[in-house]
Amino acid sequence: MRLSRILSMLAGFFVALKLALLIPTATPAADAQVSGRQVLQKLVEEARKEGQLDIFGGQEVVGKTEQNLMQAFNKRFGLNIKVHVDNTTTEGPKFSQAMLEHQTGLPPTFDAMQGAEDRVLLLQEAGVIQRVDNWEALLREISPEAFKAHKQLSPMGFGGFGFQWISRLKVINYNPTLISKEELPQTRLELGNPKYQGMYSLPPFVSEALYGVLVYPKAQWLETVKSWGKSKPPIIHYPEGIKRMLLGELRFLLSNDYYYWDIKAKNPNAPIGISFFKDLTPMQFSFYFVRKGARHPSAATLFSLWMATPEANRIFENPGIGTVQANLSLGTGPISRQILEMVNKDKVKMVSWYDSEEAFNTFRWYTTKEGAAYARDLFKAQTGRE
Amino acid sequence: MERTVAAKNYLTWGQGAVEGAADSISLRLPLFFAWLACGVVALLLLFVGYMTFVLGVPTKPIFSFQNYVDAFDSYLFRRVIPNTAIVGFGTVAVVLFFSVPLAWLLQRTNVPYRELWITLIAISMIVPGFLKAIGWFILLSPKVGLINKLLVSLFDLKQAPLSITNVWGIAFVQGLMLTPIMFFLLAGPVRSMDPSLEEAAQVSGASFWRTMRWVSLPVLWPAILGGGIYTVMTAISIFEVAGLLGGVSHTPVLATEVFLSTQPFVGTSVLLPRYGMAGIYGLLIAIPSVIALYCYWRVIGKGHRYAVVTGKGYRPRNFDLGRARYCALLFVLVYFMAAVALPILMLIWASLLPYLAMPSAEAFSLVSLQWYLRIMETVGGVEVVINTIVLTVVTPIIVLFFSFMISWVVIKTQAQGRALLDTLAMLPHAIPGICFAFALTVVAIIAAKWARWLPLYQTIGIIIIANAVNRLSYVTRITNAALLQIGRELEESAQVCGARRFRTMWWVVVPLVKPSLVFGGIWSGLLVFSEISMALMLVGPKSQVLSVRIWQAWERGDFGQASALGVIMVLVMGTLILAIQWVGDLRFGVSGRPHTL
Repeated sequence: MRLSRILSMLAGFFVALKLALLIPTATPAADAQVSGRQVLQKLVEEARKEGQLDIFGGQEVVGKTEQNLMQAFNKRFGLNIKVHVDNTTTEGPKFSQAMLEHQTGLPPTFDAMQGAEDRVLLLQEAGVIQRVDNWEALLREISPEAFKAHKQLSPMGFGGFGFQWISRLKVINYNPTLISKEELPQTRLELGNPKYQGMYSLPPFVSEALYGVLVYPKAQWLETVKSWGKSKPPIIHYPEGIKRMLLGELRFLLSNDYYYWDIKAKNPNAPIGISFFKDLTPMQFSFYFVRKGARHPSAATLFSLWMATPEANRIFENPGIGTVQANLSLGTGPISRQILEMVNKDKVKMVSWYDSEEAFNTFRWYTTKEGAAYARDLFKAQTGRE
Repeated sequence: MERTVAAKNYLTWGQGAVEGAADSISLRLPLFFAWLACGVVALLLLFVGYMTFVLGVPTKPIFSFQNYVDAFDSYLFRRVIPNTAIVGFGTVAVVLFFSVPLAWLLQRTNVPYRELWITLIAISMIVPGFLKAIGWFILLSPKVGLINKLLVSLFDLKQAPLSITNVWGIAFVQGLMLTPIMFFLLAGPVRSMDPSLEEAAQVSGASFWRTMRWVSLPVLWPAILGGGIYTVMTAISIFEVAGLLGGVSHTPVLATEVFLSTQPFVGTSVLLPRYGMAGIYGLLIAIPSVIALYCYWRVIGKGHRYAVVTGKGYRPRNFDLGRARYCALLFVLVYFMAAVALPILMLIWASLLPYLAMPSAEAFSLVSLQWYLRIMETVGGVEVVINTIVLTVVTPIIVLFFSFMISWVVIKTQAQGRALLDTLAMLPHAIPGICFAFALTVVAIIAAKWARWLPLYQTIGIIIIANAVNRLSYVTRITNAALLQIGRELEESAQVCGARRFRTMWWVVVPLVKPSLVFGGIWSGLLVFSEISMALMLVGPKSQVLSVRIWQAWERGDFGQASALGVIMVLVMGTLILAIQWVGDLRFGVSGRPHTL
C-alpha cells in the first residue's frame, strides 16, 4: 500500500515534471500560430477595407484563367474585392514603367506585379519592392503545403520580397516530323555545330544564356554562344519561333517547357516534342511582389503570397483553360509532376540561381558593371549584333 | 452643283456680314490653332532631342554624349542605314507601282465594281500589318511557303526561288500594306481633276498615254510627291514587318533599332529603356524627311500651277476605257489578290485552327469556331470596345480640325513662318510614334505629379493626343493637296463681294474640300484603329483598346485568337465603311463614286 502510494506519487511527480518541461516549448509555438493567424486576419480585414487590387498579371493571366483566379482568391479569404488585371503586354515595358514611377516619385500603378527573377532582382535592388513582414508565418497560415517549400518559393536574396508562382524550364522544343530526338544537339556546346545551321531560332534576349557560367568557364561559354550566332539563326521571340517550328520552317528551338503542354492540350497529335540538354537545363523563376507605396498593400500582400500556393497553381496547371504554367518548387500540379518525371527519367541537370550561395552571387554579379559587360558580350554573340 | 450651293450660302450670309474686327480674327484664329498644334509637335520634338543627351530618367537627367557615341558605330553605317534605304525606297516603288494606276482607274474610269474595290482597299487597311506579314510568310517562306513549293514542283527546282525574309521581301510586304494609304491620299486630287485639261490635250491630238504623261501626272505631282514622302517615312518607321520577317538581328533597320533601344535585354544592370538612343534613331529617320520636305515645299510653292478646281466650268468626268477596262480589272485583281484576298484568307484560316498549321488533311480536321465562340475573352470586356470607339471617333475630329487650320495658313495665306508650320506638321511622321509616345509618357508623369487635374497618365486621352500628333502629317498632306486645287479666283470673287477670310473659308472652301476632309477623317480613323506601337506604350489598365488586345494575343502565341478578332474587326469595319459610303452618297456625295461630286 505504502509502496503503491510512493509509486503513484512518483508517477505524479514525473507527469508534473513532464508537463513542466513541455509548457515552455509549447507556448512559443502556440504564440507563433496565434500570431500568424492574427496577422492574416488583420491583413484580410484591411484588404476588405481597401476593396480593390490592381495587378500586373502578364500574359499568363488571361481569359478564363483570369476569372477563375479572381474567384478563387476572393473565396479563399472571404473577400469580395475588385481585382483589375493588366495583361496588355510582356513584363519588360511594365517593369520599366515601375522603375520610372519609382524614380520620379509617382504612386505605383500596380499594387502587385509579377516577372522573371532577373528583372525582379533589379527592382528589388532599386528599392521598388516592399518586403512582406512575417511572410513565413503568413504563408504557413495561408497554405501549410506551400510553407513546406518556402525556402524555394522565396529563395535566398528574395526572402520576403518575391514569391515564386511559376518556374520555367529552358528546353528544346522540336518538330518530330522533321527531326528525331536523337538527332537534336545533346549539349549546348553542340548547338554551334554547322550541321544545325538553318534549323533553329534564338531569342532576342540572353536570360537563358546567362546560366551557362554556372557550368562552363566564362571564356569558354562566351565562345560557345558565339558559335551559335555564327550560324545566323533567326532572332525571334519564343511564340514566333514555335509558330515557325509548327509550320515546318524550323526544326527546333530553344524555348520554355510550357509551349509543349499548351500545344498538346490543343491537339495531342501536334508536331511538337520536348527535349533537354544534357549539360545544362536552367530553371527560371517568376515572382510576385508587392510594390512599395502600393495603394492597396494588404490585398497585394495576400495575393502575392497566395499565388505561391498549390491552390493558385492548380488554376495554371489546367491545360485547355488558359496558359499552362508549372511550379516545380511545389511539384504538386499534374504538369509539374509530369515534368519532374521527365527530368528524373532523362537525368536532366537542372540549374537555378538558388542552388548555392555561389550560384546566387554569380546571379548578382550580372548586375555589376563587369557582369553587365559580359552579358552584353553574350547578347552580341548570340544575336550577331555588333 | 456643290460649288453653286456654297456660293449661294456665302452670298446669303455675306450680305449680313458685320464689318469691324472680324477680318483680323478670321486670320488670327487659324493662325492660333495652327501654331498651337505645331507648337505641341515642336515641344515634343524638342523633348525627343533633349532626351538624346540624357542618360536615365528625364526628371533626374545625367547629360552625356554617350548615346551618340553608342549609336554612331560602324554597324549603323554598314548595315542599318543601307538596309533602311532599301526598305524605304523599295516600299515606295511598290506603292507607286500599284497606287497611282489604282487611284486613276478606280476614281476616273469605268472599271467594273469600282465601289467594291474601294471598300476592299479600305478594309485591307484595318488588318494589322503583322497579321498580313504572317500571311505572306506562309506564302513565300523559303522552306515551307506555298508559292515556293508550287514553283519548285512546277519547274523542278532544287531550292525555293523566292524569299520573303530579306530586305526586298520586307519592302514588298510593306509596299502592299501602304498602297491603300497612298491610294486614299491620291483619291481626292484624282477625283477633283478638271477633265477639261485632258479633253483639251486629246482635242489637240495627244494620245491617251501622252495625255497621262504630260497633263494628268503633272497635275497630280504635288499629291504624288507628298504621298511619296509620307510613304518613305512610314516605310522606314514600321517595326513589325521587319521585326517579324527579318528578325531583329539579320536585317537591322532603323525601326528595329528604335524598338531594341526601348526594350532593354534581360541580363543587364539596366532596366530603363534607352530612350535617348531611340531618339537618335528617330532623328536619323527625320533627316531624309527634312530633305524631302524641302523638295516638297519647292513644289507646292508653285501651287497655283496645280489648281484644277476653278470657277470656270469645273466638271469631273469619267474615262470610258472600252474593252481595255477588262485589262484594268485584271490589274486591280492582281493587287487585291496580293494585298487583300490572300492575307484575309490566311487570317480566316488561322482563326479556325487551334494553332497555326499549313493547309493539310490533318489541319482541316482541326478546324473549329472555338476562337469565335470565346471572342469576348480576347476582347476583354465592354470597356475595351468603348475605349476603341472613343479613340477612333475623337482622334480624326481633332486631327481634321487642326490639319485644316494648318493647311489654310500654309496654302491660302502669306503668313510669315508658314513654311515652318508645314515642316512641323510633317515632322511627326519623321519621328517614330514610339518616340512621341515616350515624350508624352513623361509629360503625363509630370502632370500626374504636379498637375493632377490633367488626366493624362494611362488614360485614353493621352492615346488620343499621341495619335492626333502622329496623324497630323497624314491629314495635312490631304488638306494641303485639296486646298492646292481650289483656284484663287473663287476666293478672290468672294472677297470682291466683301467676304472676310473666315467666311470665305467656311462657306466657299470647306464645301469644296469636304470630300477630301471626309476621306481624311475616315482613313485616319482607320489608321488610329489599327495603331499599336504607341498604344502599347501609353495604355493603362483601364484604357485598353482592341488593337492592343490583338497584339497581346499574338505576342503570347495565340495566333488563332488574334486572327479571329482580326476577322471580326474586318467584318465590323467593312460594314461601317459601307454604311459611311452609303450615308456619304446620300448626304454629302463624298463616297468612292467619282460621278457624285
